[in-house]
Amino acid sequence: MQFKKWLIIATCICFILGLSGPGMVKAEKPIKIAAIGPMDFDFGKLIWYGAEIAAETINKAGGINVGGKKRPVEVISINSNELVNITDAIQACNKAILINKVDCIVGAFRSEAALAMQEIAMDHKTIFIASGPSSPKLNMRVKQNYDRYKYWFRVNFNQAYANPFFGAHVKYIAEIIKKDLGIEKLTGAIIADKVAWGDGAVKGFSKMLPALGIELVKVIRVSPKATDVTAEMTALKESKAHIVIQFLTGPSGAVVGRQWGELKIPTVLTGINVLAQSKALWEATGGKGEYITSGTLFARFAATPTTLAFYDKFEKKYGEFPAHGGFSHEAVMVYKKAVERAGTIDSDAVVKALEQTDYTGASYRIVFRGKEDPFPHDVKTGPGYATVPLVQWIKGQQIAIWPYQEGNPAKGIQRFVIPPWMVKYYKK
Amino acid sequence: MQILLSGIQVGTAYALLAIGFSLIWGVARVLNFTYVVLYMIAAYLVYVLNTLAGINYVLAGLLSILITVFLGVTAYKLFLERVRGHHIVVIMVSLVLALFMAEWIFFIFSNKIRYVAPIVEGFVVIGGIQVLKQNIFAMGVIFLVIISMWLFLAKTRLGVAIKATAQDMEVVNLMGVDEKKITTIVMGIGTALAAICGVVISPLWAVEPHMWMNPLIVVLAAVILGGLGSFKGSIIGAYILAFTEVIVTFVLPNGAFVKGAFALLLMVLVLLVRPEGLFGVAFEEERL
Repeated sequence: MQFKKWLIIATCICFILGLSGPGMVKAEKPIKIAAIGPMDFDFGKLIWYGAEIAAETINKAGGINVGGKKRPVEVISINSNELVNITDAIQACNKAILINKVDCIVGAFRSEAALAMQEIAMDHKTIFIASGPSSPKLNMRVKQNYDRYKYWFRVNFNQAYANPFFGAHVKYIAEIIKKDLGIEKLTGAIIADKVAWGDGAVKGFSKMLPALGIELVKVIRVSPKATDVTAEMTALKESKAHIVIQFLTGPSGAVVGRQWGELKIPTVLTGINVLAQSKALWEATGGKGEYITSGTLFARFAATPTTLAFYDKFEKKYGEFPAHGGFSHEAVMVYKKAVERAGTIDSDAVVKALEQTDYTGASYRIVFRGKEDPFPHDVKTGPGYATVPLVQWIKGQQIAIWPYQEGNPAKGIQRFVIPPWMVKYYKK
Repeated sequence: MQILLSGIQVGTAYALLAIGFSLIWGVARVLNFTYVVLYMIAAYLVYVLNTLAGINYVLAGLLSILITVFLGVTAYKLFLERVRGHHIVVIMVSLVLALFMAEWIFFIFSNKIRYVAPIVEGFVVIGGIQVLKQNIFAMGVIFLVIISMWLFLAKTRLGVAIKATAQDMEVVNLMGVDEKKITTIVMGIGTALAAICGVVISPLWAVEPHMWMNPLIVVLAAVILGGLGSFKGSIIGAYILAFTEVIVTFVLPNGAFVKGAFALLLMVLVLLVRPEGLFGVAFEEERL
């Protein structure tokens, strides 16, 4: 009995010593980052994957250095359901801030939802680094009321700045069509979802096409939920446009791509087809979407020294191309760098640090526009800064085709291929 | 020519859906929202059996129809039959059932757009216009089904019993016809029509979890426009709506996203002039 008593006491002493011994490190409180997006959809899952892979990279290196102490990153998946219901997105954002008590939010996809979530985040002075929505209004608010909206940043493209890149894509394709098919006067059409960002894109392109010497012959607006576009495709074919610029985010992207390939409509499809940014296009069209081109967020070419390695790592881990996931990754990394510069996670200090960002990650060189810009806290664009690559689906592979330099394309970039049926049609 | 062909393509699918819906409404007096969800379920079943399991399309289609009919009739017997006669309750129950089924489809398949290979690849040129062979196949099957249904209703004993039940359920009961059995058969036939549509349309339209929503509006509108319980009216109503959508897309491509609204507006205008629909009976009491 005596022996048992002493055994118990000795065990307790050893246990307490073990807990407080030199080998025992007190865990630092994690920095919480919410990855918010429509998690029931591929777009949302990619946002989560990107944030997750960034957190893994950061934590492998020991965490974020906050004033000399390394703190781990914890990413939390928040389902905004924004593609179905904007109200759900508002509630999701509230939950992230009030219940999950996150220090930063990254992600968002649809601009309408982002506009609503932005208000919630700004109410609570929570840093929000968007990686998907493209409406210019989001950053116009920063200009209009800096003190309230300064916590908002965006690493993906503002529509206003994206349009010139889409114009460059169209110009590149147009030049190849003119050269290879001998067509001097080109015509163009636009098919776009009836959503906020589509409105800006249509407006911009309606002016841009004539400026590029392309006659605009048709503009078709489809419901983003459309699953049948028979009439629309017929109208498109009837227009005899050489180039069709798509701005499609919903299932219409799959049907347009499939029917275009099945009917062998002699036109080039370019613009943005969000489905074409991922492997989903090939599956959804049964391969009929071959030769579709689309601007994308991430393409597999050497945009930066780390692009190819990141792209391959992401694809290997998740079986999908980075797309929006690449930008949520950048958002987390940019936040990490800012916190380390600020030495604190206090929002006001981090905002100042974010404004000093000059970060070249896997996507492009990220530098945020200043207060004097019409769209503060958007990324700078142009040579040496952010760019929108163009990809084309060929033989089941998504190939980067722009930025293309004749005779000296960057590693991973190939020349645009005109659909063979279009070549046959015009060479007749 | 473009408008004509597009209108026929779209209208034919709507017509088949409208007939089944009209039949169920006209005979069973059930506003069955699960109907269009069952059309979606049939499309997904074809995807599972044909694309994933590799079963021949025709066999996969037949199996899909059988399974869908089973689901439809079971759902009716378990949930809707007992509340028949209480119209608001029927609407609520069928709506909840429809949403429940649709959510399960979303849960199982997520939002990915699924591909079903066409039974016939390629296209033909008709009057200078390219038409997918699958479209011609689908229209052919649907026309065949519509004609078969018309002959069935007009020439067979069961068909006559169904029409009689639609006209006056009480008298039919008094004549010794089991109206419950007739209603169940009609539910099966109606569901089969929706399933056939889902099977033949799946290689043409996007198979995704919200594909049932647009047809719901169109089917309701077609049936009301054509006249409740009118076989002929449902078909004509469906084509009118389809052509309206197509014409809007051609004439006002910038407003193609509201083509459905234009079609519904046309329906409202017709109803203002003829509240019973184009071929419906003038007084509701005559149908009781």
